[in-house]
Amino acid sequence: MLTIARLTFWEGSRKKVFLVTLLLSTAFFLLYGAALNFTAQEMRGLGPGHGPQLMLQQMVGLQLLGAGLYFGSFLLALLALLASVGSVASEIESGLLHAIVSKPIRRRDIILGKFLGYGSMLTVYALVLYGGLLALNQYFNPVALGFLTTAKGIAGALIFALQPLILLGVALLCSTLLRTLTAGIVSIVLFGLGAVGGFLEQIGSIVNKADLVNLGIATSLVMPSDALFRKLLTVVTGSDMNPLSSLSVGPFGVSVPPSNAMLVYACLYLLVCLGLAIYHFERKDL
Amino acid sequence: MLAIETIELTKTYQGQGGCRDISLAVPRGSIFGLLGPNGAGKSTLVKMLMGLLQPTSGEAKLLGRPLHDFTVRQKVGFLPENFSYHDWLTGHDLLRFHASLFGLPAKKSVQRIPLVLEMVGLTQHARKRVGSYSKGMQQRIGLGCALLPDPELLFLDEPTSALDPIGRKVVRDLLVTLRGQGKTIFLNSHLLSELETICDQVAIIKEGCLIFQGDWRDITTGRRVKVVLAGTMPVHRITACCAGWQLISQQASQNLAGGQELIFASAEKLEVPELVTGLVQSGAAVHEVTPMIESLEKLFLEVVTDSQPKD
Repeated sequence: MLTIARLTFWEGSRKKVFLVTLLLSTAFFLLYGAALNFTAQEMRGLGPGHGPQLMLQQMVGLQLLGAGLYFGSFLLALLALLASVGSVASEIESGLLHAIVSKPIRRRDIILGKFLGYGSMLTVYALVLYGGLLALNQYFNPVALGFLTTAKGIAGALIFALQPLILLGVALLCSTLLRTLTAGIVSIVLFGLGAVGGFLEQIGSIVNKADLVNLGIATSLVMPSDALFRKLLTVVTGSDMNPLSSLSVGPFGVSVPPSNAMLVYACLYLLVCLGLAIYHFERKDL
Repeated sequence: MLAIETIELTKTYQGQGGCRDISLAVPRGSIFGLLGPNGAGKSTLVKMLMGLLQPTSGEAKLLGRPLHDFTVRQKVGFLPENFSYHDWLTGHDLLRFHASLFGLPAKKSVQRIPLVLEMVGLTQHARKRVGSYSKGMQQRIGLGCALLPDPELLFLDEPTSALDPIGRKVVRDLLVTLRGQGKTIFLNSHLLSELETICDQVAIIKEGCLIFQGDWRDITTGRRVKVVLAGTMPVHRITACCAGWQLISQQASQNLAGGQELIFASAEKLEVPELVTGLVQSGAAVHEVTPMIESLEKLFLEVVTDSQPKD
């Protein structure tokens, strides 16, 4: 399993999609840093932070933090899906797996090795991204991180890193069941579905429409990636302690914070995806 | 102990195709050829034996251990028909990766990798990326991967399809050397002339069914025999003393002055000593007897064309 994991990590970090994502991340950090800088200059022009100014600073600051974490999550999702969705299907199609499956290793070790390899690559990338985002916000937008403690920062990092792992699990499952192209389409559609569900839940909460909220929750059960993002925002912004957190409602905000049960569900979801991927791959004719 | 044993091994897809009721016995220390027309089910059989396909029914053993016991593959090398490897790795790194998959200890890997590179003639190209290799070199590095664990059993699916004549000869010689070391080689190839040269036994599959298995020389040898007599003998006396044999040609011997060269044929596999005894008893001075071995290609075409697979 470790042999496969090592090779997968090595291979994943050599793929063009990884290089493209690194370039995109650099561009994103530059743009995001510039946006935070300009906003910080504007905020400083408003004078000391109290009264309406404080509310405005909080609102803009939380939206900027939310936007940064959202696009960071999006980059992670992009890398997780594009790097791994063909990892089984395309290797079956090319015959690459024939020389590997015929070796004295269990098929489940191939799937777990691939998960471990891509997962460790994504986790390292996620932690760098998360650290960079928080550092930029701490420098330019400290008001948005006023309620962030060390424990919450670590919890946020774990949730941020869990997001691509969920998508990796889904991509591996699709890759054992479908051809590369179909697996890619299904995985991306599922990811999109999760995002749409999240928006529906936010909108439902704002307009107080229970059906929309329930629809959003149901969608989160099918694909919990967006629910994890909302949970991440809740933890990082300290919305349970921040009296002004309701100002962050919007596309990059949280109106209904997901419960801790959603975190447990997301972990179980990942385990089920991996279990199903192993189950199908062990029975698959190559 | 047999190297490969299958008992009514079957793989069908929704009840069709694949191969059915294959019962094979491949002795150890031999080169065993698998023949059959395109789509006969040869690759299906090889893939089942290598654990790539799940059998629909039947049993199989490799080196005396059941197919599902994956640890037996530590002693089994496999070169797939559609070989494809991580083209971004160098030849050396690819072998190191496969050595690790075989579970070879680091010390043994360090010993085996240069040896294997030399065996397949890629020592000079070990540090180049596999993606820069020619098709033939890629096939040879694939063969190298299969040879890494010093396997007792080697499955080669079309091992020379991408090789030039010199490469083919190198591989052929290598296989003969491996057989000399007691290894068993299971060879799936379309190149009958190659199989003819090195195979001890063959199996022929047609439409998913096994229609012949054994030493192909057994059924070709003895059907035609060349006999050179010292002196001559009238044709009617020859035919009278050789019941069951048909004299299909007779002419003056080109190698023995005053001698007579006879060619006998038989529809059945008859014993050559009985033919010789008959000739000697009728007064012929037998100088030379040579069983005429027909080509494997002829046998293959004959068997594949004539036989009807079982339902």
